[in-house]
Amino acid sequence: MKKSWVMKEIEENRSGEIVIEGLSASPGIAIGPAFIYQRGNIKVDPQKVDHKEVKRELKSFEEVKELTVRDLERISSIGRRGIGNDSSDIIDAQIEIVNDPELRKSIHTHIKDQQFKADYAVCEAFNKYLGLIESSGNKLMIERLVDIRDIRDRMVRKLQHRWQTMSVNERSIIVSDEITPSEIIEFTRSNILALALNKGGLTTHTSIIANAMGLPAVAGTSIATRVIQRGEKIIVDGTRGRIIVRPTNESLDKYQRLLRQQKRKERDLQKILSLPSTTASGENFTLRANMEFDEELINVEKYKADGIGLLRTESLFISDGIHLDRSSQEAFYRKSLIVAGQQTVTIRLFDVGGDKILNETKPEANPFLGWRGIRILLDRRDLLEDQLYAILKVAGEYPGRVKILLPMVSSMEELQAVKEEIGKVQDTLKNEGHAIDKHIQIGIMVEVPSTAIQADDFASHVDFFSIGTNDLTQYTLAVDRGNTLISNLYQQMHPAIWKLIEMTVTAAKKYQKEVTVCGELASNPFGAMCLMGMGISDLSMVPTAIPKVKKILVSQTMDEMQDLIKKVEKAISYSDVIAIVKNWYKEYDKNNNG
Amino acid sequence: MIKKKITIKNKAGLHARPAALLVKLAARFKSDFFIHMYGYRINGKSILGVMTLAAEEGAELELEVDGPDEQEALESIVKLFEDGFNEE
Repeated sequence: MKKSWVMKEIEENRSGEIVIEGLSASPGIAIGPAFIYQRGNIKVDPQKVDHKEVKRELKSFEEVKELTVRDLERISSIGRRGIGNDSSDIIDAQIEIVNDPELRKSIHTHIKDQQFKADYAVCEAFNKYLGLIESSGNKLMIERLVDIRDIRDRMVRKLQHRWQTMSVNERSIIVSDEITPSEIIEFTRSNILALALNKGGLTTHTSIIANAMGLPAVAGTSIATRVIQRGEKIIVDGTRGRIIVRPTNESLDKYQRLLRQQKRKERDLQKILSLPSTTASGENFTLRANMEFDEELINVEKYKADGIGLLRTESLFISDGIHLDRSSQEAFYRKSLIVAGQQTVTIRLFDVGGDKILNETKPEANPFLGWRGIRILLDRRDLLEDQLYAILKVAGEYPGRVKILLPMVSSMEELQAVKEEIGKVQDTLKNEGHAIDKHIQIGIMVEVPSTAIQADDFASHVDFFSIGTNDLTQYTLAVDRGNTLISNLYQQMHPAIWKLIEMTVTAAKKYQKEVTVCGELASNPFGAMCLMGMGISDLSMVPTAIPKVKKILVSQTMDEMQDLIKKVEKAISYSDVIAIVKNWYKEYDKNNNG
Repeated sequence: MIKKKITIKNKAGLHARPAALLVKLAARFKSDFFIHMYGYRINGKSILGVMTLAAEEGAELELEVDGPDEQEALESIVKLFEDGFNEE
């Protein structure tokens, strides 16, 4: 997302074609009929409630407040990974607004003292601030009014339960003033083709979700809804940020050509994805998806992943240590199992740092070497118990399809303590009459170097290892991967990392245990080949990486990959490894292009 | 209770991003935190309150911190202002 406003202008040439310039919110091209979508403004009436109902209104406000923060936090972290910090800054400010103590006080007063319904109370409290900011005359601040109104409307709609009633035409291009993430997700069920929007303030959210959904989008046009008529054929060029209305035949030809190219690329991708997962010499391999958010789950199917190799559960934390109750957790796990089809889902227990659990804790001097992952869970048994209860209950409904993965394990005691807790929760479930999966698989992350070194000791006590190369690299090389001063030293293909992986694989083989890799190394095609050569045929990665990894793996024989890792393992420095990588790609490109 | 006068240094003033940083920082401390400006006194832990000040570059305001960790809180907050909210 560009930060500055792009000049909007309409060019109308003699043929009647109109080009609307806007912001490129999500790339791609679409041609189709326009559907003018109007949400309508929120409507609230100053309704009063019985004094008996005050408590209920307060409770629904608090619930909606929490839900809103959770939605925003999800979008914020998707944004940080995908798009950069500019948009996330705005969302962070929105989170602070929802959590504003004075706003909350004012809403409570409206409900408690004046007995207004929660939706009206929220609206009134927000409007007071909106008025004050507007009258300040500060331009920068006035630009942000749209984000504040968004929060207000989001909360009011949630309170009025007015989410479900939206319907749009199948395979149309949505033309709208603005659009919310939940609406986009709702509309993708109608197979919409693209988005053409007037506003830009909210494109922060919009573009993040549109990108995740692969939906072309142009935002910030100011005039899309006024120029475009219902049902007429329009072109959305999300890549260049323009919308073409009443296109000339010439433009239509040009864009149809581009659309065909785009579709060919998608087909090539699909072709690769529909190939059987076997190497050129016939050995099978498995490519699974790393997942974290509800919104991403659709990508499991889209990229034909073999289930979910890493389901992160940190998103189940709302904020300040509030975590979702058991039934909401269960819903998330069930949903992930449904998208995984017949495949397994590996659920990793909460892997958070201490700052997420207790708001009042002072920042730790070395948070990555501090109170995090399994260490927190064993100190905060309530969290552990709630999560295990939810996971094991769902596992009982889908026997053989759930695996439990423990994060940050660095000692045998930690593993034993969690296993005991699992036994206890299984007993509770059984006593309550729930089905359980007696043979549920329990594995550990290999990300603390000591665990790789002790892999042989751990192997007989676990069902599987999952190597997290991101943290393993950071801990082994003593390089903070967020520190830009030393980012050149963060080397996942460093000889020491290969050695630790080799130790883990050897131990797993000896005890006939499964081993998978779920770090970035697995999503790197070269890394994936080396791991295959080592005998790790089960890899988990961000789904968008599956096509490129699969393309390489199907083209190679096992012998070739084994030769490759032998070469890599002989390297004594990172530059040696990189030389091998460069050389390999040179050969590969020569054979595939010439 | 301690007070300190301060001038806004960053070009864009106390807009949404600095305001978010400020209230996030203030929330880490137990002490109450207020900002005085043009005769108004707003809760410094309220982002909407901070935004209504619409304080621009060069604006003078007074910080008031009151509570068990007031010294530490004031120092951290002053530092954030002095660093211009890490804007440039």
